[in-house]
Amino acid sequence: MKRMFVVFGPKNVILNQLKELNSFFIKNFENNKKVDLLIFSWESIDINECKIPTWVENIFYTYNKKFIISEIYLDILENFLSDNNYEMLIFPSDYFSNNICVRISKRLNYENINFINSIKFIGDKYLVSKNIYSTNLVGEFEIFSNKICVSIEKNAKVEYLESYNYNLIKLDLYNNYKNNFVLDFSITQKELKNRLEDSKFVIVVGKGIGSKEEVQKIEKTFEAFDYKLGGTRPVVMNGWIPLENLVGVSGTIISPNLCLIVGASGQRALLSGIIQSKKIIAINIDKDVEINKQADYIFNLDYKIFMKKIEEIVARRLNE
Amino acid sequence: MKIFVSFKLIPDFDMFSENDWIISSHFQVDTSYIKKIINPYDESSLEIALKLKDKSKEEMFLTALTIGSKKNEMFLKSLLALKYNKVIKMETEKDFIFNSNFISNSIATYAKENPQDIYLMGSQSPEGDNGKTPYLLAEILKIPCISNVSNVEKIDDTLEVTSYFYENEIKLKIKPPVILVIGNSPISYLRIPTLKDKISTNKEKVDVIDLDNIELTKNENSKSVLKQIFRERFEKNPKICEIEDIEELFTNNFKELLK
Repeated sequence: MKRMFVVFGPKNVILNQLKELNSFFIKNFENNKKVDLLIFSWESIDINECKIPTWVENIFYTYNKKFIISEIYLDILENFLSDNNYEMLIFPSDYFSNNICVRISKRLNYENINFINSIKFIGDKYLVSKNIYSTNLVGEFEIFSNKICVSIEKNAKVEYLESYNYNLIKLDLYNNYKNNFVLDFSITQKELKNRLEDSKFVIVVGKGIGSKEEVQKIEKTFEAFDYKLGGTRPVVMNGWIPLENLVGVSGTIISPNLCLIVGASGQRALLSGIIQSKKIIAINIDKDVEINKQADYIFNLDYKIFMKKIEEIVARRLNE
Repeated sequence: MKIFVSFKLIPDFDMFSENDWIISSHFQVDTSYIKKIINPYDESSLEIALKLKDKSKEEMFLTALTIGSKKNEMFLKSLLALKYNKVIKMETEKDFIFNSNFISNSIATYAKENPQDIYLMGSQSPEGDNGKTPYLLAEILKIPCISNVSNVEKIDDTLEVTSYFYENEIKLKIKPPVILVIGNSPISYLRIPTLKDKISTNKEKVDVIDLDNIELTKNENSKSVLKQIFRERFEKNPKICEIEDIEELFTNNFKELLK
């Protein structure tokens, strides 16, 4: 079976997508099964200087700064796939990739399912599982098609070993695509330092803390620590913390050494985002909240008492 | 300029307790007794459309469309009070949770007869979590589509669209028509209509289209079959701590995280 992973974007995004796809590969495919990789890059990359997963057999690499526009990818990808017969196309978890995944499957008559967490080929069908009902349930689907196009669910990004044996095929696929839809564009890359997903210590606040002022008090309590602050959807939607600090299935998936959950009940949409943390400490005055089943340590008390105690300990330790 | 917003009313899953997740033999979950909310991405879309209308000097015609069962939804009238020019409810008794083809074809049926300049659609809705409808619609209508949009501004006869791709903020100056797929947006809440606006629009009606009685242009058969649904249980065996445990916890867990 010929399979291909498709990645897009500038170098930093492509490397992140590869780590995410590596996590999916390890979970779903045997290590000796090789997969081709198609890279649409917005910036010129020296592939030989990049770490490439060991499971990659052929890399098809193409670069053009106008690859920012999905309509361009689609037309080029459609032409490329018409000449190259793949049974399975696999895309990363982001919405940009999802856009391409759904539309190319429609154009080329592939069966399509998105945000999957596993896939197996059994007999004449695929068996695919994915989260549904806002990650509260898992659905298993049988797909009767010999051509399938999937995007994967958000995953923690898993590092990979370098490959030494891939074939690099550079392609010029732009072909003077006529675009009369985008008149102009600009890209601003945000600060890559101190990202939630790279932090070893993350504090996640839920709406139980009550207000933006309380968020600021928690930040002050932990100012002596090297941490990042995340929040649940209601906290972000209320503007108590910035949008990019949303933790969960619609935000960032984190896997820190320590995750402190304050005033969040632990809906599945949040749990999916924190479950890969090595240690979870939950503070919630309500003993029956779901988070208490997922944490390693639980404090059923007013979080303000917890914070006060931390402040006392930190003040004492810093003076020692 | 014509702006079209599709939206979905969904059960508020935050109101579900562990024991509410009962799956029927037909792989359905009874959510009928749970309060409905607007899908968060769709709520952003509805408010973004109103903001475009607020700021525009030219006339904006706003249409909001939803697909659902034949129950009376009081919320739809409030969109008329918020100055949506047309509110449409497509009714069906079909189970379309995992059938994005049905949804996109239904919307396309309306859009082909009533072409729009801007289509605002949420990225994904819970229940099916399919993430397909806007993209299928783009292919059916053959118009461009931009994903993960957080905001849009109208500048003369062009649009400035802001979208996010990992750590990259992308600003595109485009010419409509376009489908904008709204992701996480700082514009997250739909405004509430005033009592005066509610009274003044009280006699206006929501347009109802019976989907079960019209033939869709192309109702494709999916090759996907839902085989089973289950709720994963991943419970740890947590240590229940008291206030005096914080000191030990600090020594073992927090200390090394000090700057």
